[in-house]
Amino acid sequence: METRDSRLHILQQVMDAAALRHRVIAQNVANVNTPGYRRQEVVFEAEMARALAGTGGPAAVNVKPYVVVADGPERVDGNTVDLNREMNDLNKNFLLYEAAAQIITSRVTSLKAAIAGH
Amino acid sequence: MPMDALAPLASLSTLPRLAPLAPNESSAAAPAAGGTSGSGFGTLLNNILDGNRQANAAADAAVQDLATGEAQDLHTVSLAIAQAEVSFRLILELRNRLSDALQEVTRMQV
Repeated sequence: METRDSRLHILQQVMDAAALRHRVIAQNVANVNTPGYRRQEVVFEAEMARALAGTGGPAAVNVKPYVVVADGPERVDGNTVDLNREMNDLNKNFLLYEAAAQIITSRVTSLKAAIAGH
Repeated sequence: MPMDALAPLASLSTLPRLAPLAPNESSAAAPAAGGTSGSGFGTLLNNILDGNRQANAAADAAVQDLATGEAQDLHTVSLAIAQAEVSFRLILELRNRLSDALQEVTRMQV
């Protein structure tokens, strides 16, 4: 029996991306004083938009987030991490993760109610 | 002091008589006719189901916007989700009440 849901599938990928981005931001913050370190970031949303536009069904969409080295203004020691920016990204990412988790909870509660019938 | 005689209640005589009990076979055709016609309980149910379908489509679109980063504010997304869930709950509760009512009828002594 098929109990997978395409909507949960998309949300799972969103949470995968958010979890990876959290780790990448943590790594950037940890390396804020490392000379020559280039800040990294996660590419996901654009890939997801392309995948959703390309293949019609959201069920077929399977997007894996990946890490790229980002451009940015360089300090004298060659480091490109901006702590304020990382904190901003961290807050945004946390909100996204929380929202996805709440939506999944709501969806699963509905599904359970539909199965149980009460 | 003389009292006026009580006037007969005029409205009582104008009340329509109860319709005679219809035989059972005529009611067998009624649900099929009521379900397809433009008004009645079937339309009501269809409207509610259609509302739920639309709410679900809006919620799906909101989730996709969230996934693609197009959603500028989270409250729009969570509101669409909540609307879909409430509309589903309404349908579920309606179904439960209807099945309760049916059971009540089947238990009825004739």
